[in-house]
Amino acid sequence: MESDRISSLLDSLLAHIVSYLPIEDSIKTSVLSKRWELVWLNASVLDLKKSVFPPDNNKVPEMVMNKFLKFNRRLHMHTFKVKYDDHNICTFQYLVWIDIMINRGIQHLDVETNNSHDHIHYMPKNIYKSKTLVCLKLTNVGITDNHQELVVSLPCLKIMYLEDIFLDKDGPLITEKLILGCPVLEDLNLLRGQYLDDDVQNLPLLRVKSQTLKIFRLTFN
Amino acid sequence: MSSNMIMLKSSDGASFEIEEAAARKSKIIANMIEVECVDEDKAIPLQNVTGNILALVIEYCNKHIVDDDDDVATEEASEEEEEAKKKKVDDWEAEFMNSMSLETMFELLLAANYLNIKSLIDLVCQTIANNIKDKTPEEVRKIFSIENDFTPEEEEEIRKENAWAFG
Repeated sequence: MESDRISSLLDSLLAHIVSYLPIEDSIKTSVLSKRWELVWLNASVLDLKKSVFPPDNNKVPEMVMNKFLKFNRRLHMHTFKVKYDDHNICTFQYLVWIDIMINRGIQHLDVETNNSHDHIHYMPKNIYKSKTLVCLKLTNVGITDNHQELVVSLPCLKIMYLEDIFLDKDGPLITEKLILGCPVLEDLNLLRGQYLDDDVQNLPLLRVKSQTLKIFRLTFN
Repeated sequence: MSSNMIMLKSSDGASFEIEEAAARKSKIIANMIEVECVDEDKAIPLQNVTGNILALVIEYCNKHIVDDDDDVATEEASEEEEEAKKKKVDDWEAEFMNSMSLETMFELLLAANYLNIKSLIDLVCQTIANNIKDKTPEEVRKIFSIENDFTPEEEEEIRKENAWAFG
């Protein structure tokens, strides 16, 4: 190209472009020129799922997230995707970040852990009361450790994927409560489910009741 | 949806006829139609869009209106059919973007932004991002003619802060 067209784009369009990049590439744009130094901090999408954070340095995700959350000036974030495991010292931090992202009005949340059943991460409760979530994917996490207290109201949620979720004997009831709390749900994917009780024979039946559901996948072991 | 035709006029005076349903992909034009400031006999002037770019915008809108119209019919379509349809659109979009220079891409992005066609903004931004992905900052500067106005010390400082990302 003859002239630098990209740098003269509106801030909002530059932020939109970097929103399509993996976090490494998005951070690398900060050295292109002064115009670009802070662009990555205004992305509407933060995808840490495929990122190649150095395995020997737990501080890196923390540094990146803290800086991003401090400087991101968007009214609403769009997407937060994250994958982590319990080898990481600062795992509880991820729950704090998920909580913050929900409060920033994200529409798309994707959380996956490699945790085992003695290290279950129960998701922050505000996830289930989000007024903005459209797509929720949870993999290998816990929904709640207290079924009675679970309150679900997801007025915009259209897509819900629950994969390898840790469940106790109330598991089907929790799933049922989640579905009932989504008045516009269209796409539901339930994959396995890891039961913490041995007595899985006597589980209550799972009833899927929805007026709006178009796609429903149920996968057993 | 009616198949009313409306006229659009580019900044360099070229006129284009387009189905109302396709033109409604642009929120700006859809709004104009809603408040009835579209006169059937008069073309809508688009001051910020040249004829060659407007032709691309219209090509995109025409392609996507057909797909959106299918929505009602495909509610009962199988997952495979849905996927096949999505792949067809993806292939068309890839071909569409492949056929243009970066220069044109930026013009198209500005036009899509001005006309407020969200899916087209997304498509162009995604394609531009693909030109940045997996490249070194030096390569990206070269592709887009970005002048590095950092002093070597300033650049070094930023690189140090996120050394892991620069590998």
